[in-house]
Amino acid sequence: MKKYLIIVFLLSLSNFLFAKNFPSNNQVAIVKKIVKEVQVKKASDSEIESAKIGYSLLDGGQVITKAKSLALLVLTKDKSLLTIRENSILNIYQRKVGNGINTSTNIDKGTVLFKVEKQSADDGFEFVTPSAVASIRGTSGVIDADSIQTNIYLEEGEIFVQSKDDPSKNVTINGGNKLTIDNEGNIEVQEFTDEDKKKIDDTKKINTKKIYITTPYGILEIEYLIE
Amino acid sequence: MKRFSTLFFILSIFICFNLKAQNSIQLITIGDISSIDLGAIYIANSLSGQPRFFQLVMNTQPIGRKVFLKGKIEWKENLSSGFKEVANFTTNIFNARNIFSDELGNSDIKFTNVDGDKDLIKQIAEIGKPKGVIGITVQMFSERNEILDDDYQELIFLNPTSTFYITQPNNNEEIDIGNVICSWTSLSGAIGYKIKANILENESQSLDDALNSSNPIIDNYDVGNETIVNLSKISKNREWFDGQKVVVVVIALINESGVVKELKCEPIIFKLKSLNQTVNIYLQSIVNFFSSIIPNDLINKINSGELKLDQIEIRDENGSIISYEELSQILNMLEARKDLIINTSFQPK
Amino acid sequence: MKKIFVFLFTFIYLSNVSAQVSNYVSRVRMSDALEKTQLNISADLYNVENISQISVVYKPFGETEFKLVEMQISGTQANGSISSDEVVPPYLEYYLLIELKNGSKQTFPLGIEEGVLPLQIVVSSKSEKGKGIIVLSPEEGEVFTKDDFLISVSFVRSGDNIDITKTKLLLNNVDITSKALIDNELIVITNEQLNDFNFTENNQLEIKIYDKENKLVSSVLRNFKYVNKLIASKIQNQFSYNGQIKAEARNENTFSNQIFYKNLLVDFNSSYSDWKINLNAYFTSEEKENLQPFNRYSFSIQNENLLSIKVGDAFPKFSNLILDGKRVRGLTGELNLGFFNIQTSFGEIFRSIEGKLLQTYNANNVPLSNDVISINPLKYKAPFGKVIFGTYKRELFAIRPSFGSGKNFQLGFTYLHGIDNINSIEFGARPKENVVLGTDLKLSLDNNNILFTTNAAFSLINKDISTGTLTDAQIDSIFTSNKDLNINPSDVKKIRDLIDKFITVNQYLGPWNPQKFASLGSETVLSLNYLNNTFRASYIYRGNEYQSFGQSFLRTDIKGINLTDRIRMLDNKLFFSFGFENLEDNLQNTKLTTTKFQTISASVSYFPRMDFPNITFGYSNNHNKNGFDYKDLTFGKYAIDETIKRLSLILSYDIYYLVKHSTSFSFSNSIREVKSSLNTDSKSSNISFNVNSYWYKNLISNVGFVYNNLDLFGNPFNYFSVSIGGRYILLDDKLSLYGNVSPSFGDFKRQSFEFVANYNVMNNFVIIFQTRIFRIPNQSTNSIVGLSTRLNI
Repeated sequence: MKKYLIIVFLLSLSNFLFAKNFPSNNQVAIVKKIVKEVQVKKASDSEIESAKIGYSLLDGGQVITKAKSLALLVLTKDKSLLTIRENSILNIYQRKVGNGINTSTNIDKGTVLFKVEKQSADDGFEFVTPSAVASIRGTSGVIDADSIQTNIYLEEGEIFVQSKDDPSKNVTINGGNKLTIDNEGNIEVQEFTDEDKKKIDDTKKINTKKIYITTPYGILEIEYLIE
Repeated sequence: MKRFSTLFFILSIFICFNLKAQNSIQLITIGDISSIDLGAIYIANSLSGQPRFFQLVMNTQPIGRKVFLKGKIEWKENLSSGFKEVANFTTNIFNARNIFSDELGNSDIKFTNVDGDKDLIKQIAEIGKPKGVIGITVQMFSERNEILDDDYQELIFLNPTSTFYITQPNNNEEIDIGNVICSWTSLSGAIGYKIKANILENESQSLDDALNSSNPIIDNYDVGNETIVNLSKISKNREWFDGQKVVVVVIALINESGVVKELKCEPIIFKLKSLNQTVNIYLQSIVNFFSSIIPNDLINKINSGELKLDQIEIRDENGSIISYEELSQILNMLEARKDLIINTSFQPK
Repeated sequence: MKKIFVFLFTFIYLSNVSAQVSNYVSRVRMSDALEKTQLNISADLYNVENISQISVVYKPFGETEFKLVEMQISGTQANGSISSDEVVPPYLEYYLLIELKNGSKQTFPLGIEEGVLPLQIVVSSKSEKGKGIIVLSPEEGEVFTKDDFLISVSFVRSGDNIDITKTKLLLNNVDITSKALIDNELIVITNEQLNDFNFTENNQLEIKIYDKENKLVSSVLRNFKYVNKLIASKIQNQFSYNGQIKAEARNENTFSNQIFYKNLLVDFNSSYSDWKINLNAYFTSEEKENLQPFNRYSFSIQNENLLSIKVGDAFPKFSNLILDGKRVRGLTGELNLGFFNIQTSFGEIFRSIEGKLLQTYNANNVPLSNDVISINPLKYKAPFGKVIFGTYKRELFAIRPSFGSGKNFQLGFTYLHGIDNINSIEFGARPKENVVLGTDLKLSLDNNNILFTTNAAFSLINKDISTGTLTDAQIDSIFTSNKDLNINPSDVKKIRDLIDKFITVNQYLGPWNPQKFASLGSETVLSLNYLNNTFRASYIYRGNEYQSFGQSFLRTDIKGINLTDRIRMLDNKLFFSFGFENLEDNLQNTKLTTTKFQTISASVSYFPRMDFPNITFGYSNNHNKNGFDYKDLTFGKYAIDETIKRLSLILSYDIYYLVKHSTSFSFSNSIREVKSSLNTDSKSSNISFNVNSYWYKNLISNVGFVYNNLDLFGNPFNYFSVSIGGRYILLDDKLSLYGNVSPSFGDFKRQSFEFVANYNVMNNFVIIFQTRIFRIPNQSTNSIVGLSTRLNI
């Protein structure tokens, strides 16, 4: 618990002290996979454009996924994976702090599957949603947020979550638990239900399969998600 | 005097009748010729291959008397306009007998003189074929230049073409098997109509091939002069049944230059409505699944059985063949898990 | 330490060991030997045909035994690899063992058995500098499709001494470094950069990292699969074949007329690479000498869209004015180069069928009749005969060179010549000859949203070539005797000689009035697809004398316009269609009057895709009129004045009660009014309703009703039909049974019974049995009973 508080403190401090002086000019993440319609803003001051595989995001980059769409990002610093499901908006920030690299992922809305590699002592990784700030050191799970509440389904590892408006409301959860936190900082933790497990399984489906039905009059095509 | 005059008059009539009876020429045409080629009525010697479209029956006393012919061809463009002489001719002297049109100028009977109205001939040539009414006058003379008899025939040329068309059924219409009304526009000049119909075996078969395949359902059925008929009631070579596609053509018969010629309209296809059309289960599952994106005409083709299962091919993105059963399972799964569907689309060919 | 390893040995690694003398190995190459990194070895070979196997024999440092890895021989190259675990500093010894087909063995270098030392390769240890290089993509063993292929390496964590720009990327041993996008601390290659790369199914990527001193500090291997259409097509490029044999025996009994059909269809397809061949043969017991052929056979060879040649029966499609759907037995083919293409077809379209002499006449008793012709008096002992005319063998030749691929532009020219072989039969009437010259143009703009096509053709026909071309004597006779024509016979002869090269010249050659476009056929179409409208406008013109032997059915002596528009609304749920056609005949003024044909049609369809029926409502009105009044004493019999009005409504709706029931209701009504002295009016109404119920996956039932009301010439004809049936699938979908009973009552009396069984004996072998019985009370009981089999190979 204590170490998470230190990390959050350091992250906040580093943002405050070094952010303007040491923003990362490097690529934060690269788009590894796209399904259907995904838009990106490569940096905070870039134009929104249709994403392509191989596009890289800089500090302040944004990903917007449309209905039935998804994007898979790989973080350049440690190969952590973020799968951004349909109808989501995600902003990604990165700062170099000393020898470390701190990454902050803001989820305005939507669902993100994360598999974050274990962070070194100098590094940091956090999710920021409208209702929570979640600090991660090497975990996998799903985070699902809207403007009112955030659900975190943690498969493995630990995660420290605090209310965005009231950091004193916080909790650490372990793998196999689901956490719900709302705008007022109300926190609820419970073990996975079958429905939660199914949600995680579905969120992991990122590969698609296509079937072509060729008739004399035209071709029917269906694309769907598989494991 | 009056008695004498009366007697003379009676004698004259008697003599005339007697002459007529002894020497006569009759011009017989071959049916109602509705069209004729210009070449067929060209008056010239040694022009072989002329059609046999009229006959001159000559009776003389004595039989085989030496005669020659004079002829005149007149033309009126419209039924309401007047006749104008197009050409006249004179033949050499020959022994009277029955002759056909193709023997004139092409046997021992030669034209010794042909006169034509160049402007009128040009006018007819510009139309391309005789139209309206052609009047043919033939006079038979003795070798002493006495007129023995004459005859006159009019031929009306309506010049029918394949302009007529089938007005019922509509192309690709579905019709109940008991009520296949077929009608077409009347063709002026047709001496009758025939109907031919056969099954269209598959979509790729040409209409020509379908109609010329063996044992047509309706094989040149003679409908006379009618322009409408219930095909369900006329006799057929074999049975047709629900769900079949039928190609039908109407053939107009015309007499062109003395030969019966067939003019075909453009054929149409109709389908015998099936009340029991059950769609293949796999195709039905495709229709159900893709109902929002498949164009209606394709849905109709599937529902009507026109699209057969063996006409479709299913492959995945790697080109591997997917079986119907496998597809059906996938579609069933996706029906239950619509959230997994990324995209469905139809790309018409 | 590293330097010690590097310089420890006296044998220096040579990547290209070409100095060794061998009858079988010309050169050995290998990847950089880096600690714990797979080492790839390839050997260029001579005399491959004598080699049965080749292996790498190696000994890792510190081990006593040599190990052996078999190499894969591909063409004149052998490839092998030593796994990463065995590649350890400071060096590795190896040689190649070549086993020959004659049983003997040889090594490379030669004489290892005699004590020659094996080769050694220095293995570099991994440098600390190489750490921090992150291969973001691909993962080991990852499977890519063309769409998601990505190579990406992150240098975010690499040390300062690493020079990212010196990184080398080898894909299947091909250096692709130049394709890489190096952006700050990231290297990226996507499919866009490797679009023309020759991927295989299994691929290997090697990433070599160098420091600023140009020393190799790290090498990373990634194996991945690449599956795309290219690979799929390569798989397809292998020889494949399929075929179908269908045999049918069917007995049809119709009004006591019994016909037993025996049909056999053989269809065989084979493909290799882009080439396809097809063999198709259809034999039927219906084939008869006195009819046109019903058997069909063809052999074709095709290379994608480039080339196709078909021998046998073909149904070539040129312009619809010239050649379309006619069976040609001969050779048909096309070569499409894009900028220039050529299409041709030649062969027989009618085979000769001899006529029949029915009766002979002498000159005194011969009647005037169109089936009485002159016959050979010596042969038949009479100069005239009544005959059934036969059919001349008709041969056709068509060729169409064109320019442009047709995707956006194509200009084509067509020449067609058809002729009846006058010697093919004895009793025939008027053999004919035909020449057609045509041109066609296609323009497509804005991704086919604007499509303009036009084609025109000019025909010449000789309606009787039996007497051949006019002789000089005939021309002299005609044009000398008729001075009014004022034509010089020698001019006529010159023209004859010119035209005779193409078509027989005599008095039956037409048209006589080509300047009046009597034999011109043309059609121009403009299609526009914008703003949810599919609009099509066409103009046709076909002179009264236009004729092509390649087109059996063409409406002639007609001109006019046709407009259609289909409007899509409400996200393709609502459709409006409009059509207008206005045509007229008598183009060359050959008829007594001009007939106008006018059609107006409209329909609206609503497909709500929700809990509401699909609805289609249609209306059409045809009106044909030639201006004559049927009451007119002179012209009345030629009068055409008729109107046909049609109305239709179709509703379909899926009801879910226990299971799905697809229902449909249709109503149609047509009224034909003909103004004539005879009553030829007709009225017809039809109402039908049917339900298909999907009880289980393998059971569908159907029930239908029809009521028909017809009034033809004032005679009513009413009936009612019921139809009940179903389809049941059993035995693991192998057996499909279909049955239906449909009696009709009223003026149309017919009871039909149908039963069809379809049994998949094996996956590729199907037996189909059908029985259809049609009972027509007081007339006949007709039947169709058949058994057919289908074997797929």
